[in-house]
Amino acid sequence: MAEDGFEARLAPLWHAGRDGDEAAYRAALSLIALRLRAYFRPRMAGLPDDVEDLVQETLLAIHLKRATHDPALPVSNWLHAVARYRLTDVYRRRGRRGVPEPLDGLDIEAPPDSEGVEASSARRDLGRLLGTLPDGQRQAIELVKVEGWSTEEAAARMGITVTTLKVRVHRGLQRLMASVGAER
Amino acid sequence: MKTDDLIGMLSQGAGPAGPAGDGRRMAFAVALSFPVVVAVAFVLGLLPLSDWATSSTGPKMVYAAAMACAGVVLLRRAGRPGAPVAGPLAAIAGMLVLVAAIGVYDILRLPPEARAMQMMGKSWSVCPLLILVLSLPLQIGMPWAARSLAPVRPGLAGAAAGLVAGGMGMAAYALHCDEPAAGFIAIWYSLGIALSVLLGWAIGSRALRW
Repeated sequence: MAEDGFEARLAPLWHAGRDGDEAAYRAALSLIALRLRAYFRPRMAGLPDDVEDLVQETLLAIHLKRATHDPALPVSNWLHAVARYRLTDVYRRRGRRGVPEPLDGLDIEAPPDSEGVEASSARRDLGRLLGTLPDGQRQAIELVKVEGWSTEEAAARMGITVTTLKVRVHRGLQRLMASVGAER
Repeated sequence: MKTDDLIGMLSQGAGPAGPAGDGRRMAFAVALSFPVVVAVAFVLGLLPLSDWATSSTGPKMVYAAAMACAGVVLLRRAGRPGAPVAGPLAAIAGMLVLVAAIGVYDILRLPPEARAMQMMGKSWSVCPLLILVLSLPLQIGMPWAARSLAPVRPGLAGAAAGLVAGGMGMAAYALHCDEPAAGFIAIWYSLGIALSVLLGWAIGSRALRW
């Protein structure tokens, strides 16, 4: 890990998010998105339009797999391993040889919004993909993730248990990640 | 969708992270060994307890349990991005070297004409394959248990799952096998577990991608 203080900035937000602080989790994901953009951009030089797609796909993976981070280990190591795996996966699907170098030596970070508003907008529309999910999963995600209902309220509105609702949200996000990968 | 919107969506109602849940599922998968033991009892026949001492059943169990435990530790590390895997890998290599050394000693201490019998026993041709067959339930169970994890090297995670499956298959097979020689165990039991690891690697390379 480069000595750029990334771990020091990310770790408190990440751990608070892990304990259920959603604002901290949101801030952690924003910090992570910058890092991912800076890592992917030079390594996907021939495919600049796909960078943001991969950033979004990786953010989904990070959210779905966040329980696999061992709190005793640095979160930046975990994040870098995940990012590298996602990029390797893109190379593999494209039939490109070679493994990307680890993020350890990375010391640049993209300045926020350096490329205007469009820079953070992906080519593939996740909103449209959301519409292709089975109704139960799509509705669960829309209620909790888009409209902001609590899991209890959303479960009551859909007439299902909280556990079922959580499972549907999780499965829906997993499916979203899979369809994002299949589209490229 | 803008990335900021996605971030808002992911954090909205995210709640606490919760455990990965792999430990409980792995315990369940390892419990699949009980039907395997029952199958051994009915199809192959169990060794009477009185023969355990003369059939090296204890050392076989220790070897099997050590491999299975090392496999569980390795799988849980391999499934957690950034977690070190060198420790479990070194422990596994160390155990294999130890078993090989004991096996070589056991063979070389005999006069040359007795060595072939010590190595081949009566069942060398079926032992590795039966261990592989007995590993099959866990070859499915362990990758299933690891599906919530995020292995950045799916092949390595699969090999670890295969090591658990092979170790438990070996323990079940030891309940039937009456071969006492350390030389036999070092070669054929190890080959059985190697086949299990190979199968696990092939399964994991495909099934444990995410």
